[in-house]
Amino acid sequence: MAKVTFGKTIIRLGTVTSTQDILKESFHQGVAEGAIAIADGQTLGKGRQGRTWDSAAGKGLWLSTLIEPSGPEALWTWVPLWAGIIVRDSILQFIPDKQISRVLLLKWPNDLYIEDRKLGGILAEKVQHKSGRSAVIVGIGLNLKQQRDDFPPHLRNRAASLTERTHVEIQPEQILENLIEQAEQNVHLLKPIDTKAIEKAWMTSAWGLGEQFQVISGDKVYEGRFIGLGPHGEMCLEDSAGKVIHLASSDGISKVTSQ
Amino acid sequence: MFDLKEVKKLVRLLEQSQISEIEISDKDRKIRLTKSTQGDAQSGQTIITAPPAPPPVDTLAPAAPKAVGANIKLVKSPMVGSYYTAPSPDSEPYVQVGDHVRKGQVLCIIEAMKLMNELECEFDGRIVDMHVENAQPVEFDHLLFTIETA
Repeated sequence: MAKVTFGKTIIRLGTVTSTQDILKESFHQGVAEGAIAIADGQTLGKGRQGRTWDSAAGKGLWLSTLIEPSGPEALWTWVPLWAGIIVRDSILQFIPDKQISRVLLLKWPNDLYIEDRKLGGILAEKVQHKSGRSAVIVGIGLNLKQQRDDFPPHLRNRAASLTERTHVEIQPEQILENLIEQAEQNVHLLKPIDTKAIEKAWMTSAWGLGEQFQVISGDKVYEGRFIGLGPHGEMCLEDSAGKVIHLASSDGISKVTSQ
Repeated sequence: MFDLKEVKKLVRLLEQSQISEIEISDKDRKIRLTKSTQGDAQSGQTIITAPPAPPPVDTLAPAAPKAVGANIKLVKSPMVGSYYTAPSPDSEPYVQVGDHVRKGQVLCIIEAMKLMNELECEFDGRIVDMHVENAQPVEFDHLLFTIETA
């Protein structure tokens, strides 16, 4: 397998609409795997189903990178979980306080959480070139320098930044360097997709494993105990009757706390 | 399960043969027929076993297409996930029944584990049927669209 060099092409941007859209355009122009588009800020950072990701200029790491997994595309659903692990491992060295690093967790499928607050989010898009070349563009948003009041009011109790939690100001470039290293060291897990290895690495940081959850997916609400991942990386909930429900997407995940 | 005709045929085969037991199995079913050695009226004992049922999983069986002819193409889901007719709840759907579509045109989004897959049409044609409601779960190979090509 040829080595993939991440960051050989880095497209540095000021404030843009979305790094995803810019890298998607570059992909269609033939940019190589490992290319990165990084911005100071985004006005329309992408979230699920048309939602936006708050990406204030100079406050975080806002980037997208191009990855070409191999093997059956039906298993490419593991790429977002792989990306969550890569981001987690890229920031661990900046959190010397073990009390904090042990609560740095992955909320299914790949949100980065510190305790019960969101530190980062990842969104992936499969893209296809007219030549038939398929790839995944992984978008990463990581809150670095925000203080509580920097977040919009509706996010203040749900979002966190690295600086806020560690009291050390970390620059986006420092994380970028680690991210490139982690991606290069671990991209072999995507060629082809090594579901067992990704699952094992992911489960070491699973947020809420064994706890009771309520998940909204489509027009239904599911409730059960989070018992692990399914064959495509789905969230597996075991309901009160012992039935295992596999969920591939969610519009809201919340822990059910007993009264 | 085996159907009754198949089982009866096997029982007859066992009765007429010198062998005392037949066992047949494939991926998801197994049957073992044993000839009684007691000489009673019951000439054979039939045991049908199935492998343990997999844990129940919330799935939707793919709907059957209305018609499949030479100029009818079926578009199926490339992966498990949630099916979306539009890029966001407030947007217009990518396509509707009756629409003419071109090769490369986006038909829907399948989302799984926050991987968004814009499914593109692989041929020119007309949407005859859409088999899944917006925001519903789909399985790998789940039938999504019936498209009539020119």
